[in-house]
Amino acid sequence: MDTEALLAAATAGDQTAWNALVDRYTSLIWSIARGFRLSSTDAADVVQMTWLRLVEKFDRIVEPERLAGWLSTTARRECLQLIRRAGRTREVLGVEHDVDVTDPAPPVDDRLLRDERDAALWRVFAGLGERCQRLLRILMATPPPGYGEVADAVDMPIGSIGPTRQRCLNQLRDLMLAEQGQS
Amino acid sequence: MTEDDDVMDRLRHIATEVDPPPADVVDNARAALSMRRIDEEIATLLLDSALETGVVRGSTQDVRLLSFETSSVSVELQAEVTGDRMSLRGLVTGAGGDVTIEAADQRRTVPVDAEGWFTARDLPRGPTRLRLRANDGRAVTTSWTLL
Repeated sequence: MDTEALLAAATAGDQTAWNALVDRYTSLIWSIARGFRLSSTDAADVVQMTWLRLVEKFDRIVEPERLAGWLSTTARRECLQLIRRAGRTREVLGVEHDVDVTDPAPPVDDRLLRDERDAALWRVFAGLGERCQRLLRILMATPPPGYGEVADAVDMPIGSIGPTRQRCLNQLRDLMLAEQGQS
Repeated sequence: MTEDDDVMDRLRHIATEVDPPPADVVDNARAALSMRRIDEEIATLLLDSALETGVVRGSTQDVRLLSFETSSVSVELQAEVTGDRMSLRGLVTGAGGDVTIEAADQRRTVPVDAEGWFTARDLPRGPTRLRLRANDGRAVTTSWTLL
């Protein structure tokens, strides 16, 4: 079923349709929160707030076909508010430099990765600048998000998502080569 | 498939393995549908001290002031946070009755006293809303707020 039909059914109280929406988009919302380097507790709160806001505003979703974009925008705002409330006042978006003053989430345990190449890639990923980490982390959602909702999640024009992704992946590749050169 | 797509697929595979949304996050999201309130007046958030600039905060204890309003009822709320627990003290203007605090998967109902005050201690932090059931039968629900 497409998103519009699921939303219409969920709005009418259909739990199965709602579950399908949750299964389709929770990974995206979680990835946005983790892209903002929130701890898992804070990320869980952002996911829940985003879904609760949708339930609260069911009747006011004016463009049901853009639900993914609405969820992404809502999740980004919840992340920014949470960061701001925590006293982290730096404007985390729109600034070109990559000085990291937010509290980074504890590093994800790469020992879970049995493939040494994957473990190395994940370690190198943590060395990327904040903006690249955010964009790529959001793009890692399952199913892969469209550039439209990614643009909403990072508040960038949709036309710059592709080029920025390319630039970030080039940086990742350079870091990878540098690490391989060292070992 | 381009080399970029290849790397992106590997990253997605890694994220799925080491950092997926936890199962309880998905369960809570599924349960969110049951939180719907149809045809109840929503009191919207007017002010949140945590989003104002220049507010002085303590480092371990944090008092946050929030204000919600409909056309006829207002709720002033003071949230005092200690670690991962919080206490709420509120003032209702425009109606009497009782207030139900909905936080995480628990609900607690406390009375509003003659002067309009209510208090609830030792609540879990997280997405929270209040529902005022007025003596005259009206019900007002605040919008969800992350406390």
